[in-house]
Amino acid sequence: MFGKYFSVLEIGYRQSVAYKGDFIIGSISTLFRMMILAYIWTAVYQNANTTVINGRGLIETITYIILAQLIWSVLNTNLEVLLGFKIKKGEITRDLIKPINFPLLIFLDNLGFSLFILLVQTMPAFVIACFMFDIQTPASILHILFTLLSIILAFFIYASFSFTIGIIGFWAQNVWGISLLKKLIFNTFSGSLVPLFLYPPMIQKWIYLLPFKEIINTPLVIYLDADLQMILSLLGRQLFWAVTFFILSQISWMYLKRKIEILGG
Amino acid sequence: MSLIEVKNITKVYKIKPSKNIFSLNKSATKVNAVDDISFKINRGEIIGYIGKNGAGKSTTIKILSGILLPTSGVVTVDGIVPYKNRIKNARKIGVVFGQRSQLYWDLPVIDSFCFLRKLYQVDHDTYQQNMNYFDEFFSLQDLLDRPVRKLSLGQRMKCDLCAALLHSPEILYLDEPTIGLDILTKNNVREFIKKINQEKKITVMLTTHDIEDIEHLSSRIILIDQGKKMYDGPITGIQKHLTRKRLIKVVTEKPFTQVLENIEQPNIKECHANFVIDLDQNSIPNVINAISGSNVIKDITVQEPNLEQILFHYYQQIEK
Ligand SMILES: Nc1ncnc2c1ncn2[C@@H]1O[C@H](COP(=O)(O)OP(=O)(O)O)[C@@H](O)[C@H]1O
Ligand SMILES: [Mg+2]
Repeated sequence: MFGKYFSVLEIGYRQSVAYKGDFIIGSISTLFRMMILAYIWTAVYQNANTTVINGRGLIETITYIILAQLIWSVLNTNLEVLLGFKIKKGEITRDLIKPINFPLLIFLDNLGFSLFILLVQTMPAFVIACFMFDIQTPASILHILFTLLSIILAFFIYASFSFTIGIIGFWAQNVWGISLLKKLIFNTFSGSLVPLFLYPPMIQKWIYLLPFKEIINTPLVIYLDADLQMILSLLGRQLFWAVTFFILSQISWMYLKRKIEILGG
Repeated sequence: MSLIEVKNITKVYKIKPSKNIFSLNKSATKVNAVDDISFKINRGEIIGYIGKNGAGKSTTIKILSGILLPTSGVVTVDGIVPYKNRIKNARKIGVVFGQRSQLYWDLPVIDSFCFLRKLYQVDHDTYQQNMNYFDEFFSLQDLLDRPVRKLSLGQRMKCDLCAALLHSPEILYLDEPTIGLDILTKNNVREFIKKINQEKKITVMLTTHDIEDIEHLSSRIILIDQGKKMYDGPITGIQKHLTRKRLIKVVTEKPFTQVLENIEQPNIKECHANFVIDLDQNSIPNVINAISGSNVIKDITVQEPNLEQILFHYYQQIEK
């Protein structure tokens, strides 16, 4: 039973191995992004003549920055572009003759790709970054577990969101533009480039109402220090968004399914 | 009950003009890709589903495999309505779209096979048996480790066929399986299809516009044109039904000078004459009598025109 789903993940992984011959370049560029961001924020702290900005010290900020890059490089796949491509080129027919739910197939395939990026591209960069910078160690085993759980939810949220976006892009006949917009929004509001706690408090208040922070900021806030009560409330919010986007992705899938059944593959 | 039952299915595609703020007239054009088609297929048959380009062959296959919803009508495949229960139906069928591979382009063939084995939950013994069976016929061993993109079209088609059969489906749908293949490979593929039909009792429905596929493979054909069913029955039936023509080749002792009545396209070279007669207007004994009145027949052959000639003739009739 489980093997059926694992097979999709595995083929996703294998395909990435075949496509991504340039993983060394990917790895180096991830490392560079980590380094550049870490140096920028070190300089900001030095010039500000303070050890704490908005309640966070330099080590926390650097830990946040580097882990954010780690999570973002793993999550940031092109699911919506792949989906749009499949629909447009009619490749979806070959998926639809298989005995598996289509969104699940896309999701697992994408997970396989992410695992490849994590193992081959991001981990080496992260290990080197750990030697270069002071990184805060987790407060307890529990913090590690909750952070991992939160990252899994983040993956689920981001994949469901991308799936929905992909279908909206198909509907608007502009997957590429919408994908670009999506990345821009996530780069600004998720914490992948700038730690959210460094935004002015007014803006933070608004950002916290949006779902985008759930994929980077939430796991990292849990990692950095949150107490149990806060962790549970953060995970609760994440779960809320996960369910919301799951429902949205299912609705958009029903729309797409109808479209394909009626308009042809 | 038949394995596949198709009742009055119709498929209308609506083609909307491309979304554009400047084109405000929103009238969609409609195409009746499949128009009130019914047929039944029994277990173990090979059906040739033939028609010109755009006749509605692929649309029918997609409805049968559960990808498309018919605009009206009902389909059941082994008791299942494919488009209502796509996943359950998918386990029972194998599908090959000739122009579209289901193998993973950049991966070795074996990776796609392993993937399909796990996806369809084929147990190890069945997988081995099937692979040996395929290998015996196609010598797959040399191909398995090559990336799909490095296979020739023929090699790819063989692998695609095997991929569709890996989970021992009851039904195999082939949408133009021989398109673009050279003659040797075509024959090879046809033999294979025949073999799995006979030995594994797999019901096969293949679409094609290659008449030879039909002549080699199936005794029953369904002919469609512009979405409508034109004929359903044995090939010999269409031959009798649609034309009563015979190709006669005569070799005579003296050069051929006679003018024969009711004869199309006489092709005369000295003592050799080829001509086509219509049995409704003429008969073979008549022709023989007419010739032997003034000449001596040394050799005579009478042939039925092949299916290609018949269909060509038939399409011309439809157009008139
Ligand atoms: N997705 C689609 N949208 C609109 N029209 C289509 C679509 N697919 C096929 N058609 C039209 O429907 C008719 C039948 O197509 P098809 O079933 O592919 O024929 P065949 O496989 O016999 O060549 C053709 O006129 C074709 O242009
Ligand atoms: Mg076709």
